[in-house]
Amino acid sequence: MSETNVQVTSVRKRFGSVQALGGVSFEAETGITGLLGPNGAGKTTLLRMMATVMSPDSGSLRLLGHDPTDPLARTAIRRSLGYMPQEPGFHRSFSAFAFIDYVAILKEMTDRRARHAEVIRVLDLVGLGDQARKRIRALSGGMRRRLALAQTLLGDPELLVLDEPTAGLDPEQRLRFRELISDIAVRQTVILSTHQTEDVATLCNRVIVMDEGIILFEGTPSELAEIARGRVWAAHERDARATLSWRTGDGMHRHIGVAPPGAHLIDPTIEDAYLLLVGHRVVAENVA
Amino acid sequence: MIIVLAALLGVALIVVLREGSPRGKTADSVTPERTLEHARGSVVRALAIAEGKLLARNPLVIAGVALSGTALFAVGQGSRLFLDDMGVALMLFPMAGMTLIASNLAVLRGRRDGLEEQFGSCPVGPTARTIAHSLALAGPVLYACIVAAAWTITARALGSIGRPHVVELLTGPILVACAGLVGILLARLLPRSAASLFMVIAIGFLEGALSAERGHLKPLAPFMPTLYQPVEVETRPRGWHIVYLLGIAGALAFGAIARHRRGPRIWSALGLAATLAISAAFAQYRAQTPARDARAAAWIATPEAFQSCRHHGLVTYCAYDEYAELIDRWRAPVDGVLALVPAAARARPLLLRQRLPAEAISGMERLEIRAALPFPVPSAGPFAWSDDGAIHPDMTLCNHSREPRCQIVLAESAAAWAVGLPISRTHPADPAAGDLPTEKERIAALGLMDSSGQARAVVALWLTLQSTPGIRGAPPDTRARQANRGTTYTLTPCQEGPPVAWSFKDTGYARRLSERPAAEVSARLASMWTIVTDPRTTTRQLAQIFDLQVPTLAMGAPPPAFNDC
Repeated sequence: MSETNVQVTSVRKRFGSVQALGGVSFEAETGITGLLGPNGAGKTTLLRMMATVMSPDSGSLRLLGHDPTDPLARTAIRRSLGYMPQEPGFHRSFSAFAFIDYVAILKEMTDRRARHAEVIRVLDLVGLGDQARKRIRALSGGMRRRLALAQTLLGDPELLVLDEPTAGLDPEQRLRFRELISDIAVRQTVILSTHQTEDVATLCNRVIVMDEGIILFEGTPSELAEIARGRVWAAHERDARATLSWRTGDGMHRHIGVAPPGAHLIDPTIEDAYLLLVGHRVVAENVA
Repeated sequence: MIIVLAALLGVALIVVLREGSPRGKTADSVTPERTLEHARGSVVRALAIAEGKLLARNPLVIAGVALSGTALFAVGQGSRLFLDDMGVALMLFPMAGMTLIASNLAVLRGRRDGLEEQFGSCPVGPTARTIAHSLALAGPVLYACIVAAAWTITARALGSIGRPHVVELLTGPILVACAGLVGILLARLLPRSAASLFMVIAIGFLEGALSAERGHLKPLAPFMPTLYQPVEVETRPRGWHIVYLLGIAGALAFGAIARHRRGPRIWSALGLAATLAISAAFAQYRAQTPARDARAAAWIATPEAFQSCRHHGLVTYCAYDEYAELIDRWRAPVDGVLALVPAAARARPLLLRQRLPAEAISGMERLEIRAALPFPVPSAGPFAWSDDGAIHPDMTLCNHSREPRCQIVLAESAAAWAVGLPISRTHPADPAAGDLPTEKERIAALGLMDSSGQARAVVALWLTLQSTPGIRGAPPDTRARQANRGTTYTLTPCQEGPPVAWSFKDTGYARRLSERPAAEVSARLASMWTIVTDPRTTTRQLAQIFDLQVPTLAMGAPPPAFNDC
């Protein structure tokens, strides 16, 4: 049975004159919730709040049934939390095993034997079991990314907060990641932010599209795709009135927005819907 | 009392540890209270072990151990362990400095590696991490204890005397702990790696300023970079000093914890530690009383009241209690001289009484002690003890590299006593003596007796050469140095030796004599002892008796590097 593990209510946050979050509200249950949005949309700020390392200016959060503003409750949340920041850090002189072991202590795993068994388990889960004794400085970027994921999985946390976990992973690693996360999400709540609509389409049971600190869409991936139904066209020629258009591999032009002359409707994807929602920003960024 | 105070600080730390534990204040707490309390203690322990291993293997700490160990063992030979134990803390300063930097870098490791956010989302917060970093200092402290203990054992094996005071020895390891805690506090207040290096330099300056202080603030210096003069009578109150350091350590530890967790218990613990440090500092300040100065003055002026004596035949050896082990080392050269002297000549009592050297009194730092002495000490210039007819060994340990010199001085004194030459200076050397034009004037200004041309001087020198096993066993060049002092006159360079100027010619005759079989010379000297020790008997007459040739220049040539004192 699904339960509401994350409740975000009217959360606002400003950094100086920049509004990072402008009254965000949503709920997340067991399963995977994907946060989609362009750079600066407020995804990372929201995830940091869910990781209890940042507090909102106003509004409230309730994580795993606790209020993170209460110090004792915050500790209780952290006991059941796994967090992978956008740019995870490492003690590069440590071995992979030693680093995860150190983080395991910070996660209150005090029994040495049990802790070591857990460290080996999570390293195996992310495919780094054979690299455990290697110094982190000797690992590739993708391996480090998996190592960062491994530390979030310590202790089988109820809530996983992952900020762009698939960035830097090759296709095979990305598939392994999807496999792993989809297994975990059967019993846990996973919040992940990504630029990859493909990840959302294949993994998430819910998706939230954000831009400029507000939520533009909340629903299932198929509901997101439905937004674009009737607004995605295939044509032989490019039409300047389209919100976005690009030439596909078969030589046709894919248009999002108004119908160009001679075009025919095609089935939308969630990427089409996402681009439709934040298209003006994407266009602006492309122009810039 | 120290144990009680240390226990108080420990209890305060435990209270602080427990403070972080939830006590079921929230209804929605998912974990039972007791489990959380258990978790916190064991987490700190696990983290402390992990950090302790890292710190113990840290290259900086290892380098500090090597530096301190080298420094300690370089000065470990010939130590008066009951005094030089104060120097252990000084020698551990490199290790303390390295520990400060290493612990600072350890606390900042997460920040340096961009892990603050990841660690921030973990249930173990900065308070527990700070406590773990503090406990991890056990490794460097243990190293410091091992270095101090190894120094004690090695120094003892190398001929040092006495026993170090455990409390004084602990000062070094506690300083290492304090340094580590400074590094942790600094990281919490100013999270910049370079700050620790500047802090080490600043502490060095502070130490220098406090220890250079000639007044009451001097004992507040964490360690003694230079020993007091005279160190025997003016040590700091070591018990209060260690309480002072423990208080500082506690204040640093609770200060670092207070950076992230404030509350009445933390403030109470911090206040307790600070009060302890301030009280102990005040106690050290107050310990320097006129009564203490008077006692120190009495220790100097009336050594008989503080010494133990041992009798060997008619010879009485008296040493301050702490130096009693030296009596056995004094006996060899004295017995050697007396064995070569006819029984009639040694049938009178001889007293060797240890005394603080005159230069230690004239150079005394604490003027209050000088003022309390029952005899006048010039406010400027040298001082000399009055002649009391006894030989006065000083605090030299007479071991290893100092053994030949020490034996020469004692044998010289005993030989001078045997032949009737003076054995004590009666007035101080004039510092301007070196500027006088003639050697005769210089000798007189230095307060020495000119023994030139007297047969008894040759006899005394021969007795010295024959009766110092250290000299006989020493390399030939050392023996030559003793026999060939000076050009025309060999001026006794050491204050504690007999105040006699041995002439070049007389030392040459003594060497000629020493080329003869000792038993033969001894027998002939004994048969005409009264004649050869008569001040009127000349060197020339002695040479005729023994048929000695005039010594060559080479026999009297002074070694270029002769400077035993």
